[in-house]
Amino acid sequence: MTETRGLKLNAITVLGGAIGVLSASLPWLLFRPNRLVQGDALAVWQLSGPWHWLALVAWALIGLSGLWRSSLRGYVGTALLVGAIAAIALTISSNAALLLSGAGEFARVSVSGGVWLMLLAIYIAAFGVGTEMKFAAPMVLLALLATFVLGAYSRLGPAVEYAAVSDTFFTELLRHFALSIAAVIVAVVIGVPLALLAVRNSRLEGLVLGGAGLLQTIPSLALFGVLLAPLAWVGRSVSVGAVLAIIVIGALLSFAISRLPVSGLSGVLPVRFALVGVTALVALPMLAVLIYNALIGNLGGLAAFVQPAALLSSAGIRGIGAAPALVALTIYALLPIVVNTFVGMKSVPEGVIDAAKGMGMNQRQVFLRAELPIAIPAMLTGLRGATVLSFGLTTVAALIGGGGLGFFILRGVDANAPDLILVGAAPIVILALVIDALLRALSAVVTPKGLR
Amino acid sequence: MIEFIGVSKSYNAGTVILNDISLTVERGELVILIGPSGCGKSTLLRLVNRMIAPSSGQILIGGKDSALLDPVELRRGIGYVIQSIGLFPHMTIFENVEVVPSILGTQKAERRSRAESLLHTVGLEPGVYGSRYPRALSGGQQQRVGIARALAADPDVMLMDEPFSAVDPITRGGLQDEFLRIKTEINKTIVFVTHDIDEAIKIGDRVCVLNAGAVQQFDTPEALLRAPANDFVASFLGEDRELKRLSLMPVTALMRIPPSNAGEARGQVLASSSARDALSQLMGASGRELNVMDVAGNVIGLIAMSDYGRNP
Ligand SMILES: Nc1ncnc2c1ncn2[C@@H]1O[C@H](COP(=O)(O)OP(=O)(O)O)[C@@H](O)[C@H]1O
Ligand SMILES: [Mg+2]
Repeated sequence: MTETRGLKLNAITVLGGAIGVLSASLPWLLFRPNRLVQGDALAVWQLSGPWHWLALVAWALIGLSGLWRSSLRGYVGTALLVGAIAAIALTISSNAALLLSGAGEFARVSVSGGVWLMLLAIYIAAFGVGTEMKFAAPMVLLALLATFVLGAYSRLGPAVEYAAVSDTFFTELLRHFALSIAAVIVAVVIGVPLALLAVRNSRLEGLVLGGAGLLQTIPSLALFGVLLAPLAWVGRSVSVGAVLAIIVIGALLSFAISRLPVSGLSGVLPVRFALVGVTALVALPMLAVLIYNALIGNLGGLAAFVQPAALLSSAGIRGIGAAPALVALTIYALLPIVVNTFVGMKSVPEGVIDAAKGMGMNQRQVFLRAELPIAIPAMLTGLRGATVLSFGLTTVAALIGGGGLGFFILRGVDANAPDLILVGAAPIVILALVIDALLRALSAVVTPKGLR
Repeated sequence: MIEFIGVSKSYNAGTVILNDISLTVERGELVILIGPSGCGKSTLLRLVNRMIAPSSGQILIGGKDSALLDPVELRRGIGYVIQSIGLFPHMTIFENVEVVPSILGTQKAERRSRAESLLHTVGLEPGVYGSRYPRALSGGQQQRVGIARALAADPDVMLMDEPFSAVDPITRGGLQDEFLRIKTEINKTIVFVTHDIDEAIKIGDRVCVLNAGAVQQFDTPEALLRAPANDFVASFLGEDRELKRLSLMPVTALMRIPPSNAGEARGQVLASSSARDALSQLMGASGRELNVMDVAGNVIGLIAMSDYGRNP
């Protein structure tokens, strides 16, 4: 500790600069004259204009700034980094323009390994410089954002593909959301009561947990195949009124049984379960389709629910489309919800429940005041898992005409257009991460302080 | 008043946990249930607040058949301290103590001031501990909160299942002393489970010794130590049961009224000491007799080893 507290070398900044320089060893851009050829990788020296050389000089200087023992290096480093970003953006936009001019409708330019490596270098260097200049990271983010907004990448493949599908992009995005969210809501409606049942009744434990696990293993294509015929038949032959009648009668019957003086008899419970089960089986797909139609704002589909004579197909229940997708997604979302609810409820200490009962809480109070607050963090973990999983899996809905972002992926695969695949896939990844972060934040808010 | 009338409990496989128990806990009395682990103490206790239903027999609480009362209502009128403490981890100490009043709809301010005074009663400073969460408290402190929580609705009856089990012997001794003080303050009917015979003798008005689901003896600690009903009770009380009895007896019960040689230079023992402490001092003292002194410093009697032979 007797040494002077002078600046040492900033190894992270040096590493960032070195990686930036190293990116020259990989091609920066990829040019495909049409969708049938493999395309040419363009190395740094094959690019035109001065900007790529300036970018490389900036990287070298950034690396050197890490060795420079001056208190100014944080500012200089930040400025160089912003400069490098500008130079890279200009390289990309000017070269893309040059390559595409007169190259035809299906010519595409994409970024290649060197640019991805520079992205890593930006991340590392921003981190290194950020230790000396606290605004480095925000400045870098701002610079990246500015290059986006100013359209530096608008001629790259994914941007071109996006522009071509931009009229349907938001429709499919909304459908994607609606499918995932409707499925998760229905999975919560099914999964939470089932998990609570499994917690209270150890004989059902294996059945519920095992069942949810088993359902998870069914391949989605097989599920679509199995669902196709029955859903198509139900949609063609059953009316909305019939389903509503079954739901109302089922609900009334099971309520009546619960009020009967014989409701404690051992034979009555299975009958009630069966009744609730059948009613739920009819009601839940309806609920899923209803939520889905509400979320995408499909008023025609919603209107069918109040027309008893209308066939289910007009409400959206058909062999293909949203209905089978919703059923499949609900089934897959079940496992994380059931398992985490079960685990959360099991984590409530025996003594806490005993004390709660012993001090005169009724069943509802024991659940709401003692068990739920302790179980809720785990339950939210399940909800988060189910939502993220569902968001990814909704991609397969496109296979059966359910729409969603998977639509672009399928079309990209068909057309041999990797940039179009990216248009579908990138938002899924980004939104999944955003949803994950939001639900984490929610979980942090809802978790009782004493349990953190 | 709590009356067990011919109460039995068995679980399905025909194993009898409690066999035809009849006993009465008087109003304001502290009855100890004691016996080896697994003998059915907790089961007997939990029959009172209907956490468990008897297989046969009746339990009367204040003269009413508990089977006819609503279990939730019944429990709200009975304080229950469970063996594993069972504080709510997601609630502060204040919130834990206020649970029952809040269920009963007591106003917030009233609840809080009651919780504060109860925490004082169990020896926890509300300003320091009230806003903490249970995990920030030691085992002994948590047990005190458990007791405060059970007292919160001011129940007539308290059921306490090994409430001092989670603490080391020294803390436990302190808690017992405090409990005796609280007991005179709160004046409740208390059924108290323990497996520690010293604790039973120290705090019980009467002690019920259980074994294998049956009452072996139900009497005052003094009577129990003087005349154990059978070999099981005798062995449960331990080889030193006469010494334990001495610890319940004041030295004044054994002393001789001072004869003419009063005032001779001897060792001294306070009149408030137990006969056991006096014996211990006699064994360590050089003289053969001790003066028994009152608080004012007067010699009110003499005690010697030989006096212990005339054990009443
Ligand atoms: N739900 C139950 N089913 C079967 N046996 C039980 C049950 N609860 C307790 N027991 C048995 O009853 C006996 C008495 O238990 P308990 O009253 O808890 O004993 P303790 O005196 O240690 O408090 C034990 O042997 C225990 O195994
Ligand atoms: Mg016990």
